[in-house]
Amino acid sequence: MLHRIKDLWAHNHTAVVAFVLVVGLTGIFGVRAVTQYIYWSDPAKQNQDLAGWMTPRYVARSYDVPPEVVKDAWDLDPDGPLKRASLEKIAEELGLTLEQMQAQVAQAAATFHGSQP
Amino acid sequence: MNDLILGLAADYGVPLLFIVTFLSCLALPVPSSLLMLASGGFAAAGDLSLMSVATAAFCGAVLGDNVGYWIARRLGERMNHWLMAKPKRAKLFQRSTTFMDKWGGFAVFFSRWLVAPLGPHINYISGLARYHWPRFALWSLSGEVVWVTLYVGLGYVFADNIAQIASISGNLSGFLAAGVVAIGLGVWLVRASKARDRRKAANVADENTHEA
Repeated sequence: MLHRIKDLWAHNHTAVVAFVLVVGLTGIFGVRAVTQYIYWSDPAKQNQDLAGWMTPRYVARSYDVPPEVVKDAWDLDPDGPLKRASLEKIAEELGLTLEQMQAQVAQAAATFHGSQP
Repeated sequence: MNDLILGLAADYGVPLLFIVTFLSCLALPVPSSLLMLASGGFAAAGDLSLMSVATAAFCGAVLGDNVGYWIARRLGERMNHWLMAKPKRAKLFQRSTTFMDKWGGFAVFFSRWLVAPLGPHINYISGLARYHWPRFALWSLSGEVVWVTLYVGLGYVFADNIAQIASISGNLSGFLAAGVVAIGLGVWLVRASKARDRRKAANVADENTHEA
């Protein structure tokens, strides 16, 4: 074993360095996959924070409420259909921050789930 | 880059997914897996149609694979003289051709989805090594079916929490790709060292017979 390592270091040391780096990278990804899995297994983390890329319908899906609940929570055009736009744009139009929108939708979802046991 | 492209997903939907999967197969650093997950999530929410999401991702990927292959193949043919000029280069070229002859279908198929970060590079190597094109196209097609079904499907099924599925699958895919490269490099290093031992032993035996 030691002989093999010495021989490799003498003849292929660039490849040996690359090998050690790739093994390290494998370890980092492996550890992160496991820690992320554990992190997300916590039921408290299940309701994901709103992000700029999401759409109103997607938020409704994520919070497990009908799209109308989201529409009412943000006072979106009540007569028109729920359009496919990013929350970033909608937040800009409404003059709200994502945190404010999140508080509103979380409250509306809680009310909805509370009223529908 | 990830946030920028993901931010365009709501407005540009299906055409964006086509362009991004296409570019990712040419080794451009665009978040194709993430966008497939998000588009699958949008399909589950009713913002996009699942069929058009899957079709766009699949067509973009297959087109990207083949464009990558043909760029490398044409370039390789034009640079044939340069490739063969130095013995070391010619040997490396010979090795990749032998590798592709032996493992080509396997490498193309699994680098589409299981070790997806290696996919674009396998496209270029296949083209350079002049791997039989119909065979390449067939393995690329079957591999992309798995890739698209896997990621769009995960996005659709786990639509409730795309952030969760994206971070776990991203790290897992990095782990697998880095692991495969580590194993490949390790095997190659040990083989090279053993070959040196054999040569040394043969030289010693050779000298002994001369002395005797």
